[in-house]
Amino acid sequence: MTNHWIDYQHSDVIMSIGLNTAENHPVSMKWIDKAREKGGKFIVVDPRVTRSAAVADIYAPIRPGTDIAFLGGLINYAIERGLYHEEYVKHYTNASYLINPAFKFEAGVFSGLDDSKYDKDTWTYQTDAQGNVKKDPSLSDPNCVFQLLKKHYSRYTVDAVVKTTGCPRSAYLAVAETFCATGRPGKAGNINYAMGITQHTYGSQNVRAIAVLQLLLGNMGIAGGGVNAQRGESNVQGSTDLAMLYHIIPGYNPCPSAAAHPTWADYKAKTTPAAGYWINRPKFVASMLKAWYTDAAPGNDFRYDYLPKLDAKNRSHLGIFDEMYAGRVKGFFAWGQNPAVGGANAGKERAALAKLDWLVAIDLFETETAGFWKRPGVHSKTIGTEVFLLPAANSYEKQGTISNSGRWIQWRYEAVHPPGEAKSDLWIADKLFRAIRNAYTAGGAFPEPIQKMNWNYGGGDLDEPDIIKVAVEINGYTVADGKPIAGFGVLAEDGSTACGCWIYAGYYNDLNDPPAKRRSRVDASGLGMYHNWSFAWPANRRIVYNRASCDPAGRPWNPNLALFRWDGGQWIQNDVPDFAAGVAPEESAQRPFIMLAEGQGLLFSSAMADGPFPEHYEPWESPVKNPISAQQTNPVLFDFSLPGELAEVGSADFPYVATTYRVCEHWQSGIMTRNSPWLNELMPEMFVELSPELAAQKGIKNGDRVAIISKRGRIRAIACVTSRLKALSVSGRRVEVIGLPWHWGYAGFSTGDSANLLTPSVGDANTQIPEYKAFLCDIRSTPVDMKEDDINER
Amino acid sequence: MSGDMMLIDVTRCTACRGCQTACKDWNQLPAEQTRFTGSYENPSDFTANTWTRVAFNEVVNGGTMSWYFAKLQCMHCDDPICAAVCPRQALYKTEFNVALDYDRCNGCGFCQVFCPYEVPRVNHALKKMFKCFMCWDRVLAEKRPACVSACPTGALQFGFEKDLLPAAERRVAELRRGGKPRAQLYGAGIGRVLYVLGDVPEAYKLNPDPVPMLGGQVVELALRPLQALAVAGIAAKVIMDRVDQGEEQ
Amino acid sequence: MKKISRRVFLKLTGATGAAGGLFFLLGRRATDVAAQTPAKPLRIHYAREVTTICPYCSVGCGAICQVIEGEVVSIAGDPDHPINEGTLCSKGGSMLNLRNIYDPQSGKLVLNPNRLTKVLYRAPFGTEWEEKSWAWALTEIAKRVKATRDATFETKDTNGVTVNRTTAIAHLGSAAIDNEENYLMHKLMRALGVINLDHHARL
Repeated sequence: MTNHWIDYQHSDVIMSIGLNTAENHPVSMKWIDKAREKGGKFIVVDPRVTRSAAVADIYAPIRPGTDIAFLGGLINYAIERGLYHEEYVKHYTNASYLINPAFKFEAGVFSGLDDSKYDKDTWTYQTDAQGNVKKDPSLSDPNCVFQLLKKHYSRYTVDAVVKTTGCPRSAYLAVAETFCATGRPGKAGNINYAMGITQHTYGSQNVRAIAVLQLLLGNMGIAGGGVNAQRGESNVQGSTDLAMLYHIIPGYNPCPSAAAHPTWADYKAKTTPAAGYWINRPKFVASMLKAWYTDAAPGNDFRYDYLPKLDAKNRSHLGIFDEMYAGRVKGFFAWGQNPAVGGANAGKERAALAKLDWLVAIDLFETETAGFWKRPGVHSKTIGTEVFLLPAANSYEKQGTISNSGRWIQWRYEAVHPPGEAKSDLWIADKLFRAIRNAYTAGGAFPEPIQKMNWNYGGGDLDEPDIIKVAVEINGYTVADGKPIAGFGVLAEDGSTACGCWIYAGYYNDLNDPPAKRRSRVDASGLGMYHNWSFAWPANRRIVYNRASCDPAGRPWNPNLALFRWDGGQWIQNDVPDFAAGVAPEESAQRPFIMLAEGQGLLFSSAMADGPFPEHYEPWESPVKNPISAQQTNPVLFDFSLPGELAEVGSADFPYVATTYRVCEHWQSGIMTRNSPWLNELMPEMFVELSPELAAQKGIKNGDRVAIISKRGRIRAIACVTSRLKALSVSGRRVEVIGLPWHWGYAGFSTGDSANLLTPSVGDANTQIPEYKAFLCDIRSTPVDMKEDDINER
Repeated sequence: MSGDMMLIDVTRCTACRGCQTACKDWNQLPAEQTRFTGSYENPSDFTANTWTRVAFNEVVNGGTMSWYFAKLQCMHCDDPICAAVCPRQALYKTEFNVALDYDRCNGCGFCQVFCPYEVPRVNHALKKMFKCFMCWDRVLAEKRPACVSACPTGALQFGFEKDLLPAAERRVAELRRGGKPRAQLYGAGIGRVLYVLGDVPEAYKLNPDPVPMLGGQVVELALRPLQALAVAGIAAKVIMDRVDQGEEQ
Repeated sequence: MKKISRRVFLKLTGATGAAGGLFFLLGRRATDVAAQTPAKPLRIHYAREVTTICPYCSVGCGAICQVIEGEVVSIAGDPDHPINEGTLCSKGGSMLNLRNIYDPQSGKLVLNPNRLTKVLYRAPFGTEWEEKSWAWALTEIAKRVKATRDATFETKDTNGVTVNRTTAIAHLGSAAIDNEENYLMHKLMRALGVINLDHHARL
């Protein structure tokens, strides 16, 4: 999130797309309602009438997987009618930059496509003899970003949008008119999204489309605006910040790869841009290595060699399970995650678990992953995987911080000790590391990274480690005296500072009054920033890119919601500035997007794997040919599917579009909520939602037990026949959409079939996030009991 | 006392059902075993362990469909029939609720039978009646009922009638101006629970015509021979059911 | 009377026979209800209040655990929290169940019977879980990790680049785990040379 929850109250229009906020982030509705009390409008774009759509001012139905068509249409609408924020676009985006004339877009693909990868040589700026980017401030040069953007999206006419998305014209136009009105200076439009946007083979481009629209409308960096990813778990923000991902190390620094970064010098050279805040990257990474290895120093490249280097394979979730399925992964830690239910094409993932030598599962309850060897339909005696299931403490049986979507790092305390022999994950990580280090005292393969790892948190063999020591290490400290650093500004590349995660610097910088524990309701900003309630990374900034809230002269676009105001000599501040506050406003106006090398919002971005502009493609499985171009699917998507797992375009056997989602009463793979009797009471069983028309055609009655089938598997569910779903008219065809919650599995108090037995192993071109949100299926009325072996679980 | 009335503005409800779990948590109520029968609404009825629940209703009107939500619970009538028919005078009216003296209650079920909102439920094993008591302990301790405290959107409010009734009337006027011509109050003058509706009561599964008998009239009826016979029949049925259930167990 | 008699049968046949509410009734509440007076303090009046943050979605709502005699007896929204201001949805409102539930038979607050309280182990080709001690489990897991790592460790790749990794161990972390824990887990895995590292953010 660029903004934060309380800030939603300042929006003139809130558009939820690919997000069911009333069900999955229910308390967000408190702040959306506050905006509405002041005349704000709430738009919901979703294939189903959800509990969000039920209370929205405007509801626009949309076929799953057509968000770029929808958003691209809005971009076109804003440009065509001159509704964009012209001054903002001119000053704060790369609209005026001239692009390499060799850059082309033809037949649905961008220049440089070579098999399944783009060569980005033409996705470049024109530069003058001095290497400066050429610009056309009038935005009229046919090669300037603005003109290219305009041309690209001129194809996204109202007709094209309606034909592709299936959204009724009147609903689409109501959204376009209402949301694009926020392009007026002083108006704020907020787009919030979640997995409905990201879980596609072009999910990152869905997000880009949101960002481009928000830049055009001047909605970035202002109160009530923003691109607000409503993250799905309590600490997915934090676990991402702390880099529980193959491709990064803490603080969004790339994980070194063997090909690109064999040495520390290569790493620094290739990951440090010429401009933008990332020029400080070497300080951040050197300080992290110093926190890890006490003897890290410039002379030994900060022990850079100790870090594992990535190989050429994709090591994301889908890639890991592909390797496991192939028998190349032998040991697996499922630490608070349940891929047997949550993983795409879960049948493949369950089968992969049987190929492991050993599995360590750590959770509050027995998960489907931990108990995969005794799931219905398999013979335990044929599965050789050794399984350790370790009991963990719940959220109020331990202490520590979690980071919410608004980047607030909040401390929670231990109310009670964990039951029985359950232990905090901190304890488990600490004792496990020590046990492994012990095992290496007698030697082994390259023991140095283990033996030399700075790991000294107290607690001995039995007691809880000292979490404050961990917190100070993450926050960072000066090596000489061990004192916490105030913020990341002091980090150095000389071994004098250690910092586990630079963006968290400041969250625990005062042992007596750690910001993460602060609970002051004093709000000096008057805007609901609450700077003394917890700590928001970076630097306790509540709205990022906030320089863009004022015009180049320092006058706020909206004086009533001023984050800053230049009074002639200094800035009047209602938030922590995301810019150099000591220079004249005209100077900081050059770089409102401080993290980017350009310093400007990117309407055109060469950072993406699949094109500088978002372009509509069809999902990997689709009922129709791409109505917008000849290119059916994202040409560079990640495909981990097995042979025979793809239903062809317009398949007669699998004629319906399925989408998966969560309900208010359950969470994720359900392992916490399906073990809650109170929640099971509210939402007791797996169900499938379908329209009354489809139900009638299939002879299905509300409450019937039915079967849902895809190329990957089949499941049973109870039919929820509902007029909340309606066939959409797509390219002149009626397309029925069915909806599946994905919370169920065979463990816990409430059991049921897992929707992810149906989903495909294909992923986004940039992030490899699987395409859970749009695939093809069939639905059949079947006898109540299906035989176990009918359930396709390889 | 933190108030004498609950206002349920269904137009602000998103059916997150925080009210249902908050009620269970505060009142220490076990969960029900339920089934999914084709609607999100669950439990599908009040029980001795479910004192409040959210009704879900899909209404298709012309080309548009609406999905309506309404929290249901005891209306805490100002002239409670349940109290009037209670043979042991266990139920009684206070400024903010219809309370129960559990020492007196013997679970006969008359209240359950006569309640026009079908709210009270008897736990036959315990021989006691259960329903929403407006979290009387919290209200007397100057806190709001648990469901009201939990409600994220302000669909539930608790306060004094002198403030809530005019606020509710203003809200109805606002809704009518804002494109909901059928917006109306429900429950005004009936008891301690007042609804703001965006549509007709039936759309929210609320009884548009709760049995229009005042408590006193019921008692009078019950004193007439014919009706007395009916009441006796009901009592017999209650007893028989309990015997049946006892045998089943 | 017609309306009433219709309901009679509906309701009486549907009346519950479960013994729920027993604790409510037989515990301190029964006499309280009889009196309905403020004479007695609330059941949480003497509880220790411990603040927490909801473990479900990412709004980050504050909640308060009410602790009596070392046990959590109720969890509700934190009225001081600026985001949720005391409110919680159904998931947040059910937080107590992550540890304790009301037993449907006795009505008493008991430990959620599905909570894991012991280390469990399943031997290869085994059909049951066996209970084990932590000391045993940590030692045995360390042995497995070392054996797999040592057998598959690459110090240099085919191009001679120092890579110090194993591709035979994988780790999925969690967005339900605290920052400090994630940090240690990340350190632990990178120290082992693990590059198969991912979690919920990828899904």
